[in-house]
Amino acid sequence: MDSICIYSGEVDINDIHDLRQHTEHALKQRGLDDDTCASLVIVVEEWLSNIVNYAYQGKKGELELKVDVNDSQARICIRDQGPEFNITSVKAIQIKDVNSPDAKPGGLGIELIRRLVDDLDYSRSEDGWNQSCFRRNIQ
Amino acid sequence: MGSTLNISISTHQGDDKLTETVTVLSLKGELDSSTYKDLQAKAEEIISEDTKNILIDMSGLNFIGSAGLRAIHTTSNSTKEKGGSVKLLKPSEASQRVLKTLGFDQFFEVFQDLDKAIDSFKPVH
Repeated sequence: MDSICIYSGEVDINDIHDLRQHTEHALKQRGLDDDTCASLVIVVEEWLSNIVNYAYQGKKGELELKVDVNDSQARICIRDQGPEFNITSVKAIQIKDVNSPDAKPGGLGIELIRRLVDDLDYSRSEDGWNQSCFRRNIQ
Repeated sequence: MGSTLNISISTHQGDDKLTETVTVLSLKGELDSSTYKDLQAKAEEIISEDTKNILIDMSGLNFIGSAGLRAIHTTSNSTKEKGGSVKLLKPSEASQRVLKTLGFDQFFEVFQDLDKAIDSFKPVH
């Protein structure tokens, strides 16, 4: 497994663009196809914006972003120190309901993540870190 | 350097007088968690000035996330309240990926040709 730490340190909303670019660069360097790279970059955007906006409520907070790649899969793991939040326990939303005039479009980001990855997992460490990992099979 | 989104606005009238005025918002750059408010603000501004038909040109978007779709969705709801609609023009590859993944391409009319898109806003009698 080829593992690379993309980032470790404080983040806010203004850092997400650069972290997307660093992730894309790392994935492309490892020879991943455009579709896999683009999909995982979207996952990074969605999950980091979730952490920054909800876990850290717009303030700066600690984050670690790691990418693991082998012949059959690419895996992104993101750690944060926000309140416990298990992405695997979030209910899927019905997209058909999102576009009705009365609908609240929250949850779109997590739904997008679900549809772009083959597997996701979550763990919470005793020292207060959430770790969410997103795996996509490589064709 | 952070994300950038350039929004240019033009107004179009179809060939015949029955066709309504359509405002085209051409987006270039990244429609993400830090730029979606720019689109939302611009859309709110033109809707408050009596625009109800909006065509969003997505050909220049090299990235879009759910926040961007949310902004388009909000804009769509605002135009519906005025009896209008939002339609999409020439989604880039990045845009198509997200639209299709979430099934939004089924909820919005998507065009590849500007003239056909403008004409499609013609009221049905």
